[in-house]
Amino acid sequence: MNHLAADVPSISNTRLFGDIDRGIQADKLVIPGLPVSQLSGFMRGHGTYLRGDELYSSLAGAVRQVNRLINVQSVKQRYSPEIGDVVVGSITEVQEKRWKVDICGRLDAHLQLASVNLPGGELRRKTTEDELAMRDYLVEGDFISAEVQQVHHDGSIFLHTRSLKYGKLGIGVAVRVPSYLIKRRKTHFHALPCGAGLIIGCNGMIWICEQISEDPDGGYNIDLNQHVPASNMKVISRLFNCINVLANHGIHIFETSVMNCYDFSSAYETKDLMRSDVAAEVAAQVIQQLRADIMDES
Amino acid sequence: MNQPTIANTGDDSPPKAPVNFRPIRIKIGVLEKQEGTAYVSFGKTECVVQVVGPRSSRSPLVAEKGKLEVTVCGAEGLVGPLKDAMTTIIQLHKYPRASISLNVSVLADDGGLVPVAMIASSLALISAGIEVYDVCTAARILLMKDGQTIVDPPGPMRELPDGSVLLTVVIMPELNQIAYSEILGKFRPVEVEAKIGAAIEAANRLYPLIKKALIAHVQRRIDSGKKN
Repeated sequence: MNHLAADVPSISNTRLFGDIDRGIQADKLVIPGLPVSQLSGFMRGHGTYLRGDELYSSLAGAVRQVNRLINVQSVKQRYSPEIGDVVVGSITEVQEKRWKVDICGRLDAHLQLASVNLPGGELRRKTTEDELAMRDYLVEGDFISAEVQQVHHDGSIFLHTRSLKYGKLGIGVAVRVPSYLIKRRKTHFHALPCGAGLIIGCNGMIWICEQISEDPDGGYNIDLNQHVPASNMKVISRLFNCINVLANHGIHIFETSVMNCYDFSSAYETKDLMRSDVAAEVAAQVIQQLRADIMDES
Repeated sequence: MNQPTIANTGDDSPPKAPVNFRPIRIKIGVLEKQEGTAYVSFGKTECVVQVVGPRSSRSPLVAEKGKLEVTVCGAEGLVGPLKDAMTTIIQLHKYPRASISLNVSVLADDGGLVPVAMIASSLALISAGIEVYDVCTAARILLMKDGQTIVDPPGPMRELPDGSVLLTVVIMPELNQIAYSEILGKFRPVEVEAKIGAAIEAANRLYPLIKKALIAHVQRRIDSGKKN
């Protein structure tokens, strides 16, 4: 039975059995309640639900099809963790043998005591004293960098910091941007030439600090009352504003775009970057530069 | 929706009762935050809804289904109906242990607040990317004793004309199901089906408008995302 209204285009038959190029064009826009496919034999993906024998949409977005899997992609969604993602999050709760971490996703993630490196060596087994002393290491409000270890089917996410580069974060600034602006790259830890460190979390949380340090103690011995020189603070605040400029203009955030933005912004005062006209000017220059880079590479 | 309102027909026939809705405005993506927000107005009744979530539920009870929290400011008696209707529409089983907050701000109330708030809430939920079974359309009608139907009567309607029935119905058009209904007045049980049917028919007339607004909204977001 044909439920489609006249103004919603249907999927053409030639697309059904071939490989579809993902993410370039929206071939069909749907709203919840409309059928996504007239033919049967499709596997249902995210954003669809089965009613009787037909697949209907549960989101407003574009229908994407890869072979026999149909899903509906809504334009902006919450961060969806995948195994291996580097994330920056904050501790929300201290529970028995684990911490709960806010990573701006649908649910808080879990960081189990067994999955962290505590001072005293990497392979140390956790004792009951460690359990009782969990608050000495991480309390509510602390920021950490970690990697997604497991994602269960019910949505629970488990993190680990079992590497020297992860752990508790010291003095720095957190910036939250929409997670779809972050691409997964080879490395998410950058030592920027302007004299600061940047950790780009796949969850949209970005950490700016003075330098990226690999602390064998997992970062738990950092003195948070250290003095930060004014010059470093200026670099950090300029980077903060730059990242906000990129986010507000929908530009993907990675090392090159951040550094381009930083360089172009040097013509203006840091506080002026918060003005929409200055921000637009800098953003336009960044976009131009990024496009020129792509042209040069190809 | 091109039926005549009270018009000068030129001859001596009695004036027709209004069968049209008041002027309707729908805007998806309002306020600073944009996603998860919607504004709807029917005539002078206006409402803005913001949806936040899904977020981790901080309550100690572990729930297999998501929880919906509704707060309303600017009017009384909306929380119950909204909670009932929206719980039916959202696929809560897809959000275990999470909570979804629906915040409604009533800007002006000139009668018929329930349909306005329901439509705005469902659009805000869809704009927030929360999985639902269907969109929501709603209408309030007044069925007069002489058989006339007045669609979307303005004003609080605290005192009904003699023998009339005031109905509000909230439906899911593609699923053909009622999410919420309210009937006020004196009528016989056998008449219920016909009366509700009239209200559903009025609500269905709004569906093309809502669909158009949603598709335009998605298209705009896709276009703005493509710029980079």
